[in-house]
Amino acid sequence: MSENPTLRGALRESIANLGETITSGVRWCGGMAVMLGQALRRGPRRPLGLFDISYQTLQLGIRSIPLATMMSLFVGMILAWQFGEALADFGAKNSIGYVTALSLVRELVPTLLAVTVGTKMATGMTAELGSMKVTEQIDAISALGADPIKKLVWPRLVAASIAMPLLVAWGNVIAMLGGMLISDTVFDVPAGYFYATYIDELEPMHYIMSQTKALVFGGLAGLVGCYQGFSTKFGTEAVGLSTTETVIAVSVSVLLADFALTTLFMPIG
Amino acid sequence: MSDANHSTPGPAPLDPGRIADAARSQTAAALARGAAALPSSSGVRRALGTTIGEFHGKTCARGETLIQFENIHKAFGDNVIYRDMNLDIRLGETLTIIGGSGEGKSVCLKLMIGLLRAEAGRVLYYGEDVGEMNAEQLREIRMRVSMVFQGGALFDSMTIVQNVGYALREHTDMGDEEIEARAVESLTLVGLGPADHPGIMEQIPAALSVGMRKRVALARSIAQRPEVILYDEPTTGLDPSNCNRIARMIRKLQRELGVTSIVVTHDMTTAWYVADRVAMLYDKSFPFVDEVEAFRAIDDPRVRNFIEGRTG
Ligand SMILES: Nc1ncnc2c1ncn2[C@@H]1O[C@H](COP(=O)(O)OP(=O)(O)O)[C@@H](O)[C@H]1O
Ligand SMILES: [Mg+2]
Repeated sequence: MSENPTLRGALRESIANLGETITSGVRWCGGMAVMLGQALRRGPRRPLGLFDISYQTLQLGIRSIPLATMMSLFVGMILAWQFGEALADFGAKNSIGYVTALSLVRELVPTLLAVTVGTKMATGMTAELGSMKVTEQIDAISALGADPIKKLVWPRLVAASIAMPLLVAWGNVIAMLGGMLISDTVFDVPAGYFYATYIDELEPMHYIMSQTKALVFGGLAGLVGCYQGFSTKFGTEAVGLSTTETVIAVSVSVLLADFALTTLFMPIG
Repeated sequence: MSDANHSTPGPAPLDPGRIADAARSQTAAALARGAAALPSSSGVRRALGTTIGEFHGKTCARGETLIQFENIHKAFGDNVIYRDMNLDIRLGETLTIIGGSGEGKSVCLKLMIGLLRAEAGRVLYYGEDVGEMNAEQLREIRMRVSMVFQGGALFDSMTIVQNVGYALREHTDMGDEEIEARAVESLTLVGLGPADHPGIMEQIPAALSVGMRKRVALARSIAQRPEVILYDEPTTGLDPSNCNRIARMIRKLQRELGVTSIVVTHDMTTAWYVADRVAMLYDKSFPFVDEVEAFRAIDDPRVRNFIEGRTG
């Protein structure tokens, strides 16, 4: 008899906790949507802030090239090896180029770069904007009659949405070279043949899909990074806290968006 | 954070027409205010429309209520900051707000320029409700009411001259040279002119001492020649001689620019020195507001405990 109330209490508590988690999740998404709306409404007004946008694009893009290159090279090599082994069992190792092309271009390169490079971009933004928030610099921009969304969020959002597709395009080339290397050295499928079959498999729609994903993931990373920075609470520890959250938030939202986009594109592609 | 399209060169500094123009408006401003106008400050006032005692055709005389808090209620979640709070700020005065840490002194300043909004009640500036204003109206208010943040809040990615010239770059079509000249003027007012501190203009905030950063922040807030300056704990964290310097500067700016000042502090020396009136934040409102002498004479134990630094 005495167990019942505590069990019920625990149950009620966990349901309440669940409710709280869901509420805060919804509030978080709502806050991001509001920020996106504000940025899209106020950003395109003159002056466009082209200097800031190009500065941020260069910062985000160039700094991420080494990481993007390494990730793409290895994912290309690993995937070719895995598929190569499986295909060799069926005596079909010559079709290695056909098989790797689609998964790399449509899925692995954009997603993997989003969760690594995208996360890196986003955490950088959260740390920078978060420390501006706790030192009241964001309030100071407002107090001087300017618009922090326009000055800080808009250029970063645009820059991330430009830099990510460029990096994914570059990553696609590198991943193919990685696959080519493994196919030639490990499975004795000549590089030239790998290249021909790889390119043959790809249609314009697949490139579009790859780039669309990159654009969406880049925008998401920028949005999460900025939102987390702006919603940082007081104190310098708060910056560390929101930066950590950004890592999780970017990975989760990229995977959800990836699922949504794949569902959307599959019937077409 | 600066835009590329601001690099248009300013007009030649020795254009005789400009000088005559400036001289004329200077005398006009001096006459209107009946006080010593600072050279060329009127040019900025005209460019930004920050004339003292006049806003949207409404006027306010010295000593009349300029900003009015009316039955303000403000809370963050369950954390109630203000309950039925009322406070008047008069044109030309220096009002000091004292109160314990975390009681909502900074919130009070932020309500005045719409950085925060109250859940109930009104914040009136020339009779217009700041809480109801749209972005464009707020921008206008923020040119007239400027805030000096507690830590200075200087933009650490910008040089001192970019920091001080920020408002002018955003809101006027002045060229780089003119903005720089105005920045020098404002820095000189706070005793950091390039004459005494060569090379300061191109430094970044991190390279300066805490006291200097506070003064640069002050210079940034007066660059637009505001009507009201809000100081958030201007002397906290400074050594006594820097405290004195800042306190004297607050007085000097009030005299020379004719501004209304609101100084939040819990340092009583500064409070007595700068204030015309003192308001004490206690139990989510301002139950004690009075002229300095009268305030010092208040016998209520709650006031005595605070100003004499007794606990309990
Ligand atoms: N933007 C905000 N969000 C939530 N709580 C806040 C915010 N700003 C201030 N507070 C809370 O309001 C209270 C008063 O803060 P503040 O005005 O900064 O105090 P002080 O009198 O020291 O200046 C504090 O408890 C603080 O935690
Ligand atoms: Mg404060």
